Amino acid sequence: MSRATTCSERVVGYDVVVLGAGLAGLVAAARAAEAGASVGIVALASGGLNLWSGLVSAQRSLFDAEGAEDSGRDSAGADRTEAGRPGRGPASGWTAAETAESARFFAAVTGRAGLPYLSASPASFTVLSPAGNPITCSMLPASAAAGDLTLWGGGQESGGGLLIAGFTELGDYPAGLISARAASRTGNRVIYRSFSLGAAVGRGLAPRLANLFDDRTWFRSFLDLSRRVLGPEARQAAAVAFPPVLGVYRFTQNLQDLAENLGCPVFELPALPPSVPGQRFWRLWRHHLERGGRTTFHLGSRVVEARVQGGKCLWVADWHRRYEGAAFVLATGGVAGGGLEVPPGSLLAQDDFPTAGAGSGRPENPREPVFGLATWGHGRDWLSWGVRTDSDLRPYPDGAATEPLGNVFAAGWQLGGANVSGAAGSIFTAWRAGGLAAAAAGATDGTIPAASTRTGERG
Amino acid sequence: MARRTRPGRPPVRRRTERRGIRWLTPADSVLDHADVIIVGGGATGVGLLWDLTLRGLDVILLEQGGLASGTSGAFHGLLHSGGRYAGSDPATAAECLTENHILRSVARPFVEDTGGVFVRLEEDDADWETRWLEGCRQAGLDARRLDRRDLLSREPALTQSLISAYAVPDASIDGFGLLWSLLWSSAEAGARVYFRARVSGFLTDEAGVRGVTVVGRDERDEAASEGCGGAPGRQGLPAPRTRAIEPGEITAPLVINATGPWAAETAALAGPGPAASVPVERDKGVMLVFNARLVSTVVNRLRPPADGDILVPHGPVTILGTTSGRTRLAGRPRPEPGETALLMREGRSLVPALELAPPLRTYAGVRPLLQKGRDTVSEGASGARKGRAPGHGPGRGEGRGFLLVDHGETDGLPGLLTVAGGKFTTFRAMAATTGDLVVRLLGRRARCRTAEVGVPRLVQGPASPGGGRPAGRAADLAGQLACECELVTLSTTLSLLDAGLDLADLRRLQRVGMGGCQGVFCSRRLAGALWQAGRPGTRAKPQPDEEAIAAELASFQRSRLAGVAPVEWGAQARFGALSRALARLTLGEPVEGERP
Repeated sequence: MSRATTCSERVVGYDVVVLGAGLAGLVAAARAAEAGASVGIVALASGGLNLWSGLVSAQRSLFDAEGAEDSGRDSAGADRTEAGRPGRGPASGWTAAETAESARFFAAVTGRAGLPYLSASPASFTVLSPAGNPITCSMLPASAAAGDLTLWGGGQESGGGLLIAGFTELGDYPAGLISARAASRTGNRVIYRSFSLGAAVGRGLAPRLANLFDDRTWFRSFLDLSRRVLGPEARQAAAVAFPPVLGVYRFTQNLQDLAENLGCPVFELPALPPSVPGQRFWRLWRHHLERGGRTTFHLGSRVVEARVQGGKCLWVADWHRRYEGAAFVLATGGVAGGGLEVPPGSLLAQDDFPTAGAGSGRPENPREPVFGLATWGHGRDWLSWGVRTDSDLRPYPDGAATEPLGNVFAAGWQLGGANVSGAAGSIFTAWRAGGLAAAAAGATDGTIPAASTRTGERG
Repeated sequence: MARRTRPGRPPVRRRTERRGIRWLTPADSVLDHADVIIVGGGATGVGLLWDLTLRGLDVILLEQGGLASGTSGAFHGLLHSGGRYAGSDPATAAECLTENHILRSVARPFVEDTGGVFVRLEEDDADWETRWLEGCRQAGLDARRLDRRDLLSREPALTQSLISAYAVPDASIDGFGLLWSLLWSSAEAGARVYFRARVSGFLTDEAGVRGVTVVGRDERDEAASEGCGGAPGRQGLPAPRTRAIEPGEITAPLVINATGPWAAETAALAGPGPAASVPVERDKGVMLVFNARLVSTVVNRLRPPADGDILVPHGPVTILGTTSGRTRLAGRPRPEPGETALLMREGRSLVPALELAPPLRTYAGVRPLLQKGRDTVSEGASGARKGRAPGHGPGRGEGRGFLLVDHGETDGLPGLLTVAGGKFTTFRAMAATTGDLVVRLLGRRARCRTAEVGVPRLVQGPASPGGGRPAGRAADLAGQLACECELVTLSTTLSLLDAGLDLADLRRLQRVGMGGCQGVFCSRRLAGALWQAGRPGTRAKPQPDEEAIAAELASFQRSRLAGVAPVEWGAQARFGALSRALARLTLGEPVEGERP
């Protein structure tokens, strides 16, 4: 079924063309590829992954259950349904079983990609934020799992408490403040040690330090250093926390070595962007998808044109090439990612919601969106604002059209109108959009591989 | 009870405390005495502090929040030439012009001589231009006519539809920097300043007012009173601190109420009579900040003063002001989306490119205006004026002069003065007039020197280099930038934080959090540094108080985001979404602008 292509061609074709390579784009591509489709990813860069802490949290209801049942009403109770703009958020069509299935799929793929995640469903993990506040999430990287507050907190003396390590080369990591707040929040013993990685290292942002940790020779010297500085206290501690810079590729091995070396569990805390956990995700998932053989990346591509005919998208094009597809996944990001444009002044006084400019637009007129799409939302809160889709995530074109685009599926919490925002919403919509796109493309619906093998469950 | 450890560190001495500046906590109970007590730490109070200190008086200033945390911290940064009032009120215009010249000479480091222009557009009334020119002539303001084409080549962002233009000596002024320097110089000369000191009542005897009772404020008070400082009862605020059993008492023969929009409330503490003698209205003004110098000179629209007709280039940004509307709030009100939309609409007719330059944030202040047609007691040459200016906004019909009330004369309560109203540009003149009355009442002989003595600029803040940084951990932070947008280093910032300032004070002083990132990155870095450098806690808890620091961080982030929320469109919408996501990651809870 998959059509072989080479990158020198002016026109390339895939079963499924995914626009965007952020969290939603990669998950949608993985799902479509596992369903047997050939997938082309057309994207400028890695989307918002540089900013992502790696935690998967279900932050709040966006188009919540009652909003879905009663989609025409905003918070003020005004009727917002208009003739000629049918459709509601897809939230009504979703079940808890599907949400759980998307999480299992995610955990399975990321495990195979070399970036294992733990899932706490239906409960949640609580970890320390970069300012020492407790934050909850439903899935988290295995490298951060030992930081769950319920494991070592809770007021009881759990044998020594926590030791938080900081590097003076990493400026924006307030180890002292985090430890002080963790102590007062959990009532447990928490201490911190900040030390220098050596005069040769110099100050740097997290990604630079993470590259250093991938160097085995350097890491061996770091093991000696950490044993000298942290050793005596680590032996007393229940766990040792590090900033999330312990390598881009070798972090699993590094964490294991450190744990053996220090004689206690070791984990990473979340930090502010630029975020190494997000960069790991981008690199490892990309390698994983490319290794799978069904996915081709076209990076550095700014999509400037789309041809829609008879309610279906035929192709999209960047400056160099045309990408034909039987189905398309729109994963260009929400407002934060730049995929949705908020036109000047539009959300201030008017009660109506503006057209979403999904896609980047032509260079000569960046205001003109590639896809002009209808939107909907709650009141004037633009964070509760997203693209209007049918229950199969197909977006409605702007204007009087009553039919959604037949072969375009929106992924991402804002484009896909998820009932949760943040990473959990992106993963869920992308999982569905990828599956629906593969089916629409007529790809052999290969069975989704059993998902639970690598999923760690909480004890 | 669980064990807790904390790395030991020596208590940090507060350098400013020795110099007479203190930040009170609820546990503090101060006893002090001076010649004069000034209540209110805005431009009026601080100007008066400087004036009276230069006259050799012993003065104490009490401020409920931080320096310029009310109206003086939310003006548009314009040093008026008087042009704005020339058409409606030539006397005020003349006063502005005089003060403009004086401040340019004594406060030179704080004034950027941008110059200003008045432009009339096609749709504006030509008769007003004639009237305005006549007003300028009366005020002694030399409004030089500019060639239209010359001006457009110098200011290409201006609209092509301008008909005529005049140059005036407007300028932009660094209000925070000037007030801080005045305060610091006064403290060096012996004045005492108490921040976070709320006046809870007046001490009176048969001879009148003889002092005030003072309580220290805690974070809860601030959250409740600051319009955009976060709603009260938010998660993350520390438990209320222990209150002092007895309020502090500060005595002086003379108390001056300089509390701006709070003037009536403060006077009411002395009784209903004094409150009725202070007819101050509250008028809300909203301003927009653009992250670029859209114009290089102050641009005014040549029409009766109305909404959105001043553009002030101020440091790296441009400020578009203002709106006008009655408000009941005295603190910092929240700008409404309708108000920012109005400003954008009006501003676009002056500078069409405004649409392409997304605003960085918006803020609002409250003007204390004198009520129209009320009998007021006036003193001195530039005393109280009654409103007479025709204007479009309701607040623009009120008097922009100021009011000086001797409650001994009006209410039979000697020992209490109220000074209210006025403008930032005329704060020195207000202080001079008030100071003359003060020395007369106290039976002293000392003349005003504020028009002659220059104000030094505090380059490094109160603890200048050589004062010695704490060694050890804090030394690790030296050389790092605290704020990339405004290029402020951590070491200078830390010396200020050591002195007891909070992040909001620091913003007003060093512009931290006012640049492109709006505190998204620098506030967290500072919170960490604050703890690491050993910010002293309260007397009851001398170690750094991590919960108070975290509450400070949360409140700072929320107040910054509150200013971004009403202008979120285009690129700024993207920035808003990003900063909310980061704030949520650090705070662990929904933030401003999100549904809970």
